[in-house]
Amino acid sequence: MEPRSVGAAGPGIGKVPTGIRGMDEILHGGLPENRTTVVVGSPGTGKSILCLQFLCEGASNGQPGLFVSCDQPVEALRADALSIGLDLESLENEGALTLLPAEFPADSEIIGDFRFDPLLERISRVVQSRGVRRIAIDELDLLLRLYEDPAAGRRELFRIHRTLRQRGITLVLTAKTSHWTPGAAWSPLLHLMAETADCLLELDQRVEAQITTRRLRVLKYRGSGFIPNECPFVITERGLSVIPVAIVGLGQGPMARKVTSGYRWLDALLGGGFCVGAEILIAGEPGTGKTTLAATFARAACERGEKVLYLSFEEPEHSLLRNLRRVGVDLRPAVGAGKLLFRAVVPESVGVEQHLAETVALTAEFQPKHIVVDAVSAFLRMGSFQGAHDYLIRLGNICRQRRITALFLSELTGELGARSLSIAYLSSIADTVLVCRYEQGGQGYRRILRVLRSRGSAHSTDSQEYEITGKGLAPVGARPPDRVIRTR
Amino acid sequence: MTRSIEGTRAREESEEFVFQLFIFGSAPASSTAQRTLELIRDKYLQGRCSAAVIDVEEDPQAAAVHEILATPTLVVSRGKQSQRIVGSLDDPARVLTVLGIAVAAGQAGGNDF
Repeated sequence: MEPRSVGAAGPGIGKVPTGIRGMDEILHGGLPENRTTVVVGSPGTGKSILCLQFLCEGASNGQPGLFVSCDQPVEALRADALSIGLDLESLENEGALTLLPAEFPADSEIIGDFRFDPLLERISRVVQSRGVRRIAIDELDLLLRLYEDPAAGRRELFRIHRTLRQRGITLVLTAKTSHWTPGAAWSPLLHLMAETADCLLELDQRVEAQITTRRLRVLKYRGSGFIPNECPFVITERGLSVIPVAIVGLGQGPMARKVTSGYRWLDALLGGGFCVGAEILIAGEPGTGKTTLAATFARAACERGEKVLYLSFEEPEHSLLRNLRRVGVDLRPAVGAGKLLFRAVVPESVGVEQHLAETVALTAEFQPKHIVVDAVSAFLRMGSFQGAHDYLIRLGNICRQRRITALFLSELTGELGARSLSIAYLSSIADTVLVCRYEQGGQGYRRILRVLRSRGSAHSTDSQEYEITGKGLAPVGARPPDRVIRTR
Repeated sequence: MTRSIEGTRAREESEEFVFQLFIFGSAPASSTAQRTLELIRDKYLQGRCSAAVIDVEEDPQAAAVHEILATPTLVVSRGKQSQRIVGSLDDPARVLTVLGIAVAAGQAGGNDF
């Protein structure tokens, strides 16, 4: 996947950050300053949350905001905002945020033409008295749909647009698309709103294999480049979080530095150890010690003072720690020192997007140097093959951007699904691939490790027999690698 | 600023209808709505109503209190009930229908303007 973006950044366009994780990346900096952004989406796709996050980001950074709610009572908004960690009331008390109820009373009859002068007047007064710089009008289409005459609706939209634009306001308008039918034809009103937009965003949600996926797409951005791909997003307890699928290869640097795998014999096979910032696939049959291998690596890293995030998709922390102690890898000191963070995840609990968003948030917070994912074969339980694939690719990209070493463990069961997931996809993007399998020997099965690939290192192509002991993995018949190939 | 339409008595308990017409400055729809209200008051509700016109441009607070988003808006109070009619009221017959005022055929309509 090559990063593709449309257009170049215009010199005259100022950008206003949204405060939404991942969103500013796909918008090349944020929403257009002093201009109009229109967000369309079916009900429940997160339009209001997007507006709230945008306004709160500004309110907390010296740009007072105004939220005009045409759809829901402001009390409901405050409650919704709290659920994603935004305390509107304290911002309101500081004067940094104003909520303006603008629900059209249900008991109204309409006879003849009318204008939204009182609403505009109220907005203007708040703008003046509070020094408002950002305004969101949520579900403005509800008000504009009251006009029987489309021309009158058009006139009113333009008037609102013009009035606020003259005041140097960054404006976000939202509108509903047809209920529950993403991709359905837009109403003329929606087209009209889209026309007035300098930046046009679409949110939608789909349900695949009983797992909901939300996607965001930038449809246009006057005078600016943007990433046009559909980007999955989730709504978590931190609000919206967008994952740009298309961002690949940013911040990739040389992977010169090597760190030990925790085993000298394995370092020798690898030509010195694992490359920092590399994506490493450890594929192995059940019971070949993949987890032990990864845990030994993690322990060594923590002993050097480097943080490791261990995502366990198969076992809870306590049983994992206990089992590792049996093979001589005690990770409790590393956990106690705050260097090692375990996160046990049940793959089928939430969708792929949610998993990724949580991982991204955790990565940003914990700032690990290395990540262990144990095991990607469990991802298939997330709902869809495509989703699991996307997760891997995107997690890999995040690690590359942040120069995080990623150890992906994967089960080789011989089943087509798991095998094709790890081999066909992950192995093609991984910098280093280790395979652990059983081979029939004279006295039963022997465990064999092989380095299939190690980009940027001279490594051995020889197989190494090993066993799992009370002190971790130990080579059998210790012999130095005799055949070394160099790949660049 | 609230001003009574000329000829309207002060509000009394016996009044059936209390009208508050919210307008915005000299917008064209404002005068049309005022004419309709005067017509209804004089022709159909003689002595049974009070009517006030409130210019939102001059008295924004009143609009805020009544949550007026659009003008003209006619707020009609009838006992404990209240309803709103938004728009220029350019169809008096429809306004009467909405108010539930019975009108003989042909009595109300464009000819009254």
